[in-house]
Amino acid sequence: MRKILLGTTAVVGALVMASTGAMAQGADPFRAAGPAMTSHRDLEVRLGGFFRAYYTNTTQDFSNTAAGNLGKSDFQQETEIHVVANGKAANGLRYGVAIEIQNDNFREAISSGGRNTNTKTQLDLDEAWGYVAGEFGQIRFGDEDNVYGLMGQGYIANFASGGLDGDFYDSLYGQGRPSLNMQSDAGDNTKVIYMSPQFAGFDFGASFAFNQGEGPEAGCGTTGTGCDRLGSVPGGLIRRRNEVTAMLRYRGSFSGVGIGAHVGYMGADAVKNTTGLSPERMNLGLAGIQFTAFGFLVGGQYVFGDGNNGFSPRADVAGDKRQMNSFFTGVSYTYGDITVGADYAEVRSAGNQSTLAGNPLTGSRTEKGFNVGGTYRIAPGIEYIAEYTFIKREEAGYNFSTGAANAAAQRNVGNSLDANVFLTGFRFAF
Amino acid sequence: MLKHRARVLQIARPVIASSLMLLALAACGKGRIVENDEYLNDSRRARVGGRLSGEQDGLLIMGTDRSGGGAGGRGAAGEAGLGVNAYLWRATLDTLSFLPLSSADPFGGVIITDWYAPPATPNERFRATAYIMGRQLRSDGVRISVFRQELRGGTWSDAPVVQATATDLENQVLTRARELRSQSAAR
Repeated sequence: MRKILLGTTAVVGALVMASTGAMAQGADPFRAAGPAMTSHRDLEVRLGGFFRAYYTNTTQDFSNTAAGNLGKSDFQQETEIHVVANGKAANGLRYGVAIEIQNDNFREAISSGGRNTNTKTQLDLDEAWGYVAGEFGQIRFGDEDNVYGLMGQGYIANFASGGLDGDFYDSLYGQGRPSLNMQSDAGDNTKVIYMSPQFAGFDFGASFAFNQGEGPEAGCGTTGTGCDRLGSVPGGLIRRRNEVTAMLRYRGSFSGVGIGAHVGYMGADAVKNTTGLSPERMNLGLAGIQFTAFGFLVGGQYVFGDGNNGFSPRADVAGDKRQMNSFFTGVSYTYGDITVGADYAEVRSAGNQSTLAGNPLTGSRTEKGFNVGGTYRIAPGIEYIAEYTFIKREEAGYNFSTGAANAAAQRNVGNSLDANVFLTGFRFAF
Repeated sequence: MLKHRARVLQIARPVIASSLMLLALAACGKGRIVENDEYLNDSRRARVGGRLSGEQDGLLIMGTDRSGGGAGGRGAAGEAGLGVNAYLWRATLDTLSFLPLSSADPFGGVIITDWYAPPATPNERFRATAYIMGRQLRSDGVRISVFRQELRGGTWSDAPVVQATATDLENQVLTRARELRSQSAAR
């Protein structure tokens, strides 16, 4: 009897476990992965929040200058308030809105002189978007990631504060911040997005944005560079226009091993130069793959093509056709309430393309990042995290202490920057 | 300009071709709707497993609770429509699901199965009754009784059950409940 019971239970248990994944893809829009939702009735509005408090220890080259010396230690907090509304119309059409309020002001603001202690706790909007969904798929509109950010596979950010897409950036400043081309780095510029239903494991999506601007206003005090709709300007501008992204994604499982993969394209024009050569059109290929089994998540991504780091168009400089190649790989392991992981990324690009008159181009830029860390889930909604991140940026002829190309006589000064960030602390979500 | 267009086509051709094919299928409305939780949410909040509030997605401030609940997000307080611990409830259903279900009362926490005769031993049959004792996930939170009958002379008669059988089933339930809770916390 016992054998029958236990044996049968094991089989049934396996079936239930196998089906849990499908159930987890339940139906509640905006909801974190979880059990299935059984119905869509009426409208619901929810308020959610996030808070983190970290201790950080940072070392960054060129932090000690005649203008001042930086210490290593700091406490940081960050807050998010989310308002989400979801509903289903009588004809079956689903709809909703997500508004994410945060005090991470610096990240979303256009930098104009570095972090300002008087304003960094101001609230701003991170993402704000609405959607309608049905049998035809889903259309989103508003300030949201492009489809690469939404559908990319091989992105290992489920440990510590998010691996190389985590919170260590907040401890670095200026030239210490690398452009590692994480899939969410392309930005939340206002756009329209279409994402298809899934067919035999495949779904696809496409998004379009006229420019890199966010929010309700055109940003135009004048017709100058602050304008979202800026089309051309004397000297040109490295800013994306007519941004198109398309993604094809596959998700499935074979013998208990989950597989996800994507291929995609991201392209954009740039603000043209009315007085000379304009920046070149950006054309990037996107690929990624990931595997999940036995608590492990292993994956990688590759971004390549005509463009510069940070999903930027490349300036049209004579003799400079260097392509951007971006590699990312990561692994994580979850056992019970603990997840540990590591990420590595490397981006090779043209980097700086501005030189002093009469000087040769600077060398290609190489940026590397390594992150290792872990998460302990104390209880639902409370996590303790710890992580270490190493950043290295190199470019011959470029001075990372001044943020500009060197004169030929001092070509090798400041060509490399190292940064180390250790952070630990707690984060909460409700 | 032509060179750039050629470059675009070179990179994007496979994506465009596949996407057009899927778009045609989408027009037919034959695919599975992809839910919002199947797209990456890059907010910091989305990276935290579970919710302090016990809700899947924050506090309901207006409208009808449409989450349907689940052991995942609502924690030990139980899901909507449950009067008992959600993990124990689901784990008990999972564990006893090889038996045909006769009745299940999610408010009182009672699950009663129908008789089941294993194919290998058609002359004996089993039935189980499970009681979930409350809202807390604890080792004494579930009680299972197993009944056994033997076919004797064409009629079923009560027969003794090894006491450890019920205990084993209870342990299976607790193990499964712990798994469900871990999975919930890991999300």
